[in-house]
Amino acid sequence: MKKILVVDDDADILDMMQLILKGEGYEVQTSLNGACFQQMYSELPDLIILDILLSGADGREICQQVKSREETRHIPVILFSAHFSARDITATIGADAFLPKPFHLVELINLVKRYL
Amino acid sequence: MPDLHHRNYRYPWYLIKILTFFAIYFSTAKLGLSLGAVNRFATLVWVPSGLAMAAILLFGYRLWPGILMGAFLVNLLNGAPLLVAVGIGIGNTLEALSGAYILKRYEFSHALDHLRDVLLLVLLAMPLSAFISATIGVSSLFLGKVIAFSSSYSTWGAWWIGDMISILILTPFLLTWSKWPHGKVPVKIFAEIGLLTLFVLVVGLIVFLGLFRTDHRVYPVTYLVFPPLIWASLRFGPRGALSAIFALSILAVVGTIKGLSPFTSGRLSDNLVLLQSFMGILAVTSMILAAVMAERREFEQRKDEFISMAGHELKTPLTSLQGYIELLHMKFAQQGNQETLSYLAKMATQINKLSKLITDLLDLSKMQAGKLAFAEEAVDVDALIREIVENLQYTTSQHQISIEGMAQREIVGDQERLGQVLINLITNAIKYSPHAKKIIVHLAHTHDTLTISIQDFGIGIPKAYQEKIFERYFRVYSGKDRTYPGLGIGLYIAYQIIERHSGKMWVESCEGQGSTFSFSLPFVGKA
Repeated sequence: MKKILVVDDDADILDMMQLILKGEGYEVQTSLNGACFQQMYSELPDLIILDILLSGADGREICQQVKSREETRHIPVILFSAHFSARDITATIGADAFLPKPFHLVELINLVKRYL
Repeated sequence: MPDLHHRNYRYPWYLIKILTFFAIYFSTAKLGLSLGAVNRFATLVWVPSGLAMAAILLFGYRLWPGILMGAFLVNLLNGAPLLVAVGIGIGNTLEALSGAYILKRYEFSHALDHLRDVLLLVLLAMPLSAFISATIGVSSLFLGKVIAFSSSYSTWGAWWIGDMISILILTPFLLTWSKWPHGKVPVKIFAEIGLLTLFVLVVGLIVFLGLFRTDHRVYPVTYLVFPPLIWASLRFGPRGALSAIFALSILAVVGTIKGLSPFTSGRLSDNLVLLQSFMGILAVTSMILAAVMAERREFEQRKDEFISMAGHELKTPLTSLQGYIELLHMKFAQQGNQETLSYLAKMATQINKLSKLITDLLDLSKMQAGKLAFAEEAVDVDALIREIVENLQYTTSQHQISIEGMAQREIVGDQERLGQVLINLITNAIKYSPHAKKIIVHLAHTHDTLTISIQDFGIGIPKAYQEKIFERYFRVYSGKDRTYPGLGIGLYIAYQIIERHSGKMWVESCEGQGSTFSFSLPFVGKA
């Protein structure tokens, strides 16, 4: 089963993402601030969905870390944010795609399918 | 004790600072005394006053011995008796200290980007501190019998004005440049700075140095200094305004001394009084204008940040709402519960509306700030239109949206933004044709241009309003149209997006018969 890590500082959005993605047959791990990025090494996810403005953490840094390490570089990262302007930094920080919030389920699922 | 060690270590550095400052103070003072001094001691071009106050503000009160030594020595060498030179030295030192104290006491900002900073300097610190220096200095000269009582007043006046102008122009000039501007300067701005510099220099040369040998009695051209100063103030804030004033002041002083400026009718000292008053008024005017502009810019930036943050905060709960509604929709669709599904569809429509409204408001604020970014990618217009029409068809059961024609080729632009334009126009077509049954999207192309039109058969737009419809906040108001609420920003945004794609947008409409909104895009355009 493919594993997806979702990072967002809103617990309700995490619950929702879990429901949607589990419904599509993925294994989902969630994190409020990307702290579990450190634990990721025992079991790397196949895809990361990452919010940019996190309380107490910076999604951009997390993305750059993922993309700068040899062992995690290959993992696709989808940024999702309520700031549409965040789209412009997608390429700069090495992320693979951008999903503006709010989104339709079908948009999310299509995007995830493209990378898994 | 570590503290003592620290002080010992820093002592030579302190000494170097004072000596350096003393050297600069002394040499600029010497220069000033050689230029049109009234009664040998009251100078009208007195760089040290402005320099000293800026230095105290930037490096602290501890620099005062440099001022005292500099002022004392320069006056002693200028022929003042020992005690008189000491008196003048004390006056000049107190001037810088008192001025700096007043400014620091009232939390003066070195950037001079608020009106209160300018007024604090112009109305309080400048006249008061120069008053102290002029009064102590002239009293010393009088008591030391260097000048007669009869000439005290003119000496005092020249001293006061000379010091004030120095504090007015030089201090803020140095303060605004004490922090080097960081960040990359765009080429356009760089070019503008170059052009403005040239403009200031040419105007300065014409007005003050008699370029083209203008006879000031026949052609009084002094007013020419206003355009470059206003340009600098409006576009480059206090730093720009002060740099322009500073440059003009140097040219003006040189021109007046050489007898080439409009201020050359009497003795040099009288001419300099007139010139300095003129420059003083110019400086105050420009500084106030620049400060007000800076305040406005700051306010706009805060407003943009607020709107951007508010948009983010509004969209986050919407994301949850929309997600859960769609999850519920999936669940009830499996159970085949039609009644619940129709309720959920209504909720989804409302959330879509809300989401679009928030996006529009955010785009508008970014557009006004000039910060709306555009991607440059190949866009398959036919696929984009098909997808949008398919999605919007779900929102109306009454209208049949059809596509006529094909683009056949890709265009270069921002897919997301172009999609936004299409959604906006088709949604409007649905909204403003409540009794019609069809909406047609036409596509036509020539070898270099693609034209897309959205035709509805609705209420139409009165002729008088057709020109204005793309303006920001514009809404067609008439009794019956009140039933179509909106903010009047959708079309403005669409128009701006098309314009940024080097395209055009227009409307043809007949009241009561319908409207056709069209836009054309170049095939090889840039976003």
